[in-house]
This record gives sequence, structure tokens and C-alpha cells, in this order.
Amino acid sequence: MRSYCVLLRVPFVFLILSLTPHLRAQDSWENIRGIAESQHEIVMLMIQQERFDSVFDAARKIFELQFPPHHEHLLVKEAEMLTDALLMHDQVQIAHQVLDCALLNVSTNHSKAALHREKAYVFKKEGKAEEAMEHFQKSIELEKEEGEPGPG
Amino acid sequence: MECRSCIEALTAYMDGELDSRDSQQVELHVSECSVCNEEFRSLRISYDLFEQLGTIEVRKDLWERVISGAAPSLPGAHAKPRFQRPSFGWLPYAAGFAVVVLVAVFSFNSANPSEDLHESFARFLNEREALAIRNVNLLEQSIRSGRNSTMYNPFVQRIDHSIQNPFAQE
Repeated sequence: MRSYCVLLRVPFVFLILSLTPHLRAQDSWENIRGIAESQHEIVMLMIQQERFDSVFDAARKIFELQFPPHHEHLLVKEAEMLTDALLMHDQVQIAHQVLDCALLNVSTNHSKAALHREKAYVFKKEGKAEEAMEHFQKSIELEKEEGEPGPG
Repeated sequence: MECRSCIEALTAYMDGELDSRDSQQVELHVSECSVCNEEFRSLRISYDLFEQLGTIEVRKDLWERVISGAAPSLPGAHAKPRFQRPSFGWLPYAAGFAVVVLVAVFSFNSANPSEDLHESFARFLNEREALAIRNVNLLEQSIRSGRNSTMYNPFVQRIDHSIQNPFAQE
């Protein structure tokens, strides 16, 4: 009878053991997302208040949060938002710093390609057509490596 | 900074009322303390919910009646209400329509495989400009309202409140 009860428990133990890493990963992602969400607000407030000397350090915390690859598109979106906010205040150098930091912290070619396109956009805004074209070309190469259709 | 002081200072921080030293202390604490981080997020969501409330049209004489009824001798009783949400009329719709048209035009053009790198780049720049206009509009809107907004925070978890709200129109 006792061995029968033990046998009954085995599937439950197996189920719990198999779900634990998944739940832990989900919890960890929620934590990362929450920090990024607050940090984004802080960075935007800094830009609004024109405290540009603090912007890069605050933004870097977002990109260094170690996002899982399937959530990296949010970092790309964030980089776009910050680029626009910074260009609105003519802070081209900080925009470049933010994009370089983002490039260091994404892993997929697709994300890297999108960030190189952002670099191209900023260079174009600066009137540096040659550098802009270099980064755009780099983005196309990365998209080809990824095997996904690029922008062109 | 301690959690208690941080939580007390959060509202002032959101309203931009703290000096740079206090703001930095709040930012540092929020980025390191999960409890205050959660409090900050909750507060911001509350602010955003207030922002999303629509403007209610009231009769012109209502404000005067309220003031005169509440405090007939109050100085400035006939003053107009100071705080009103700005109304953008048809502009957001027009901007949205323009973006849709631009995206449609560029998608149609992308069917041509013979275009060279420069054409691709020009097309990308046009698309990016359209996105920049949209982003800058959102940013300006939030600056005008004096608060940040979940509208452009890519990390906000979107919750469909209409599912939970029994009074939501289906």
C-alpha cells in the first residue's frame, strides 16, 4: 500500500520539477522588465529636464540588464525612442553612446542590424553621409547572415 | 536613502519638484530597491490613468455656480478653471493616417528587387522619419501634460482593462 502511494506521487514530483525552471525564468524576466520599465521613465525625465550628463549612465542600466534574445526587440525599440528623444534636444553624441552600448548588449543579428540602421540614421542627421552608408550596409550584411529579409 | 524617504519623495519626483541632488538620490534608490521600484511603477500607472481620463464638457455657468455656492466671498470666484487637458482634435488621427499611407507606399515599393543600396537607404530614412515624427509627437504630448506616459515606454506590460471591467462597452 505504501509503495503504491509513493508511485502515485512520482508524476506530481516530476511535474513540479519540470515546471520550476520555467517559472523561475518567467519570474526573472518579470524582474528585468520591471527594472527596465522604471529605468526608462527615469531616463526620459532626465532628458525632459535636460540633465544630459546623467542620461547615458541611466540608459546603460537598461541595456545591461541581460535581456533574453527573444525580448531584444524591446531594447531596439528603446534605442529608437531614446535616439528620437536625444535628437530632439540635439544630443547627437549621447545618442551614439546609447546605440553603441545597445550594440554591445544584444546578441541576435536581427537586433544588431536594426541598431546599425539607427546609427546610420543618426549619422545622416549629422550630415555624415559616408558613415551613415557604412552602417546601413553593415545592417544589410547582418540581415543576410541572419537569413531574414532586410529593409531593402 | 531609506525606503521611507524615497517613497515620500516619489510624488514630488514625478512632478519634477525635487532639486537635482534629491532627484539623483531617488533615481539611485529606485534602480536598486525592488520595493521602491514597484512603488514607482504603481505611482506612474496611476498618473497615466488620470491622464487618460477624457475631458468632460460642462455647462459654462457650472464653474461659477460651484464657486459661488462653495465660497461666495472667495477672491477670484469667477476665475476659469486652470487645469484642463489639452485637446488635440483631429491631429492624432491625421498623423496616424499619414503614417499608414507612408508605410503602405513604402511596402508597395519594396516589391522591386532591382533597386540599389542608395534607394534602400533613402526608403529606410523616409520610414524612420515617419517613426521619428510619431515618437516626437508622443514625447511632446507627454511634456505638455507634465508627466511621463506609458504610451512610449516599450517595457510596459499592456493589460486590457476592458476584459476585467464589467462596465466596459463591448
